[in-house]
Amino acid sequence: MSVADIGIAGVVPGEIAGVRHGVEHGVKRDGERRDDVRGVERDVTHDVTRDVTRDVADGPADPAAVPDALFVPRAAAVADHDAADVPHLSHAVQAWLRLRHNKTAIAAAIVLVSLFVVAFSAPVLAPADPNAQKVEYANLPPYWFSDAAEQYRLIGAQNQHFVLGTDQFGRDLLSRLLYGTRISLTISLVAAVLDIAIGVTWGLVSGLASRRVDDLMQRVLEIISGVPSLIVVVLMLLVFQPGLVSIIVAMAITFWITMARVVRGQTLQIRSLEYVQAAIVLGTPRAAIAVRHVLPNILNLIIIRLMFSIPTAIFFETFLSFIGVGMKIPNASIGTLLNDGFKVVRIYPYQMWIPAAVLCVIMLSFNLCADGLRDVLDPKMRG
Amino acid sequence: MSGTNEIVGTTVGTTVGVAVGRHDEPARDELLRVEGLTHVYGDGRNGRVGRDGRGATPAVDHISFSIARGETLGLVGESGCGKSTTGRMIVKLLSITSGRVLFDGRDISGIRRRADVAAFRRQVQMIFQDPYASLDPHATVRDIIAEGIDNFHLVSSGRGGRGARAERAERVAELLDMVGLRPEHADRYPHEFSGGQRQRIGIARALAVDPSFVVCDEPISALDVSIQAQIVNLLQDLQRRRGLTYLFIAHDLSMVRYISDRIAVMWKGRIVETGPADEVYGNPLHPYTRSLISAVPEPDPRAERARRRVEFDAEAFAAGLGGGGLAVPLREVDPGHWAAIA
Repeated sequence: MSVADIGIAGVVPGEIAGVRHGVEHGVKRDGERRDDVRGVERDVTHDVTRDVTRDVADGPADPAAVPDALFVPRAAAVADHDAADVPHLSHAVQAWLRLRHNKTAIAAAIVLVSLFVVAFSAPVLAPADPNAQKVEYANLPPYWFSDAAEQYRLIGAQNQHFVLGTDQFGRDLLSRLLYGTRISLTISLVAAVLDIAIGVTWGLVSGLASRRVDDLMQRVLEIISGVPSLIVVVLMLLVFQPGLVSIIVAMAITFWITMARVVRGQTLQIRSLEYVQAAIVLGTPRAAIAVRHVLPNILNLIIIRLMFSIPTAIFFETFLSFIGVGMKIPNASIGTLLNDGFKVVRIYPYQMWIPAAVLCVIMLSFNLCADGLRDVLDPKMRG
Repeated sequence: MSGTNEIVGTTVGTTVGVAVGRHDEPARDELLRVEGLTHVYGDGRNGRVGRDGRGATPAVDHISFSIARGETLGLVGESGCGKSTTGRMIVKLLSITSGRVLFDGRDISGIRRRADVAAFRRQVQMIFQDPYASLDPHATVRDIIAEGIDNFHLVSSGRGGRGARAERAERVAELLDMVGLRPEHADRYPHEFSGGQRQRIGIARALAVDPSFVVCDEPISALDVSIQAQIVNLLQDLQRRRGLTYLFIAHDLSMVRYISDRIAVMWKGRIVETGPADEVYGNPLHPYTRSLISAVPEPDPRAERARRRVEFDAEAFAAGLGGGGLAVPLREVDPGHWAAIA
């Protein structure tokens, strides 16, 4: 027990705690300082206690003069320290408490969720069939544009209200945008599933397997990543029809490479830690080590990596559709909308800027969300 | 068992002959026996360097010792002398380049079958050095301690079910109580504990499978001095209550002397001296042991002022041996006290 734990309890029975504190100071200080302390005491305390203070302070400096019986442990010193522990929170709860304060990330997440809800209810929300052509309504501006009423009247479409206007074939752009966004977000889900199903599994197995298996898996990875994904997509076009299927197959072949590398690197690092060694000594099978010990400890990085790779996937699909090897022609995707709009941007700028803005919002939301999650889940990488 | 020393050639690295001393009393009830144990890093089997054998480092070089049931053998030596490598080979965390490890009379260096390995794992456990790295930060204390119980299905009520879960919780509570922690702590995460408390959790985890032999790999060197004594006393108490046998690896000589029955001093991958703890401490025979002991600070200031550090001059020592390099066979100088001196 340290000296601080021993108060001179019982010097004056029944005296108040604050005064007892003053007594301790008085005893501890040297001559001059002791007077200062006493002066303060005199101001603050009542007559009786002041006398007590002076008595003790002026008393013999020799500590032996204070009987041992007066040195009793303070109640707080013998209390069980473990009992005063703070309530414990799970890692997920702690992460959420920190994420809650990141306004940008929360806003981005809300935007993303709304986009998902709106895009996937496109069949309900869309005012028209996205592929239905009506050539006489071609290239109408959004009805709320200042000069729109005149144009609508000229072609006899006074009772039509195209919220985002129409394209060169008279198709409703709002409907096409809703369906196009749905394609982009579907791609994001596919990318996430592929990243987890193939990338994470590949990385875990490679990181925990024997040297020989790891070498083999890494060489396979290098061969795959050596082939540009654009070439893979073009090759896919020989086998499949252009469209969602060929894009997904191309992504299944190439897209999870980065995730596999990240997971393998992390697995190798965690594998060398003592708690994994302890698990081996305790006879935990390798698959259980992967699931019980490695996965929970790299989950943060997997989530972060996922949030950054999804925009890449969306952009990849948009790019493919834009250059004409993505979505099949009449079907809308943000890429094909951009391509159509890009051709007439000088005359009908809204046909390009609106899908471009939606693409920006999607990309930005994913990236801001990823940033916020990274700050929360992996504070070391902040900066 | 013969009392003679046999000379065998090393396989990799050094070309000198190395002694495999059979330096134990034949009558003892041996639990663990290590014969000519060698580990070479970078031999292309474990490491990621030197597949062709170049740059191969023999970390442990033909060491032999044995530990009797209920005994504590302290393994001391400077950093990098191969203490931890030895411990890790014994618990099968590292491959054995050559030599044998006999546990309860059975050679465990070659066991591969899942059931055999599992049976061995239940018998031999390890306590790790760093209490901050040896507990999974994402697992609750309950799951950490119950890991061995889960692996070997040590809960009698069978797999799954509410009864099994209650029994598992009860076992964890018992183990927590045994190492001086509160059963309520089972739902917490490791980061909510101090270093000493974490090391207690590590001990409870190792003892959950009821092993007979525990390798303590510097279990106290990462702890505060005030906590070290607590942990060492806990280990001793558990040894008495459960009849455990320890291989206690450390570089703190005073702690090792306190807990060990016998001490083996390692230097550059070899055992240079072994014998009863007080005997090695009080009458060190090998110049390296003398140097090591002279480095221990004395608690008495007067004695501390008088303490003189003895330098170990390996070259002069080798010269004094008259050729043959540093690999001197151990010989029994006093009964039970062996040293690698001429």
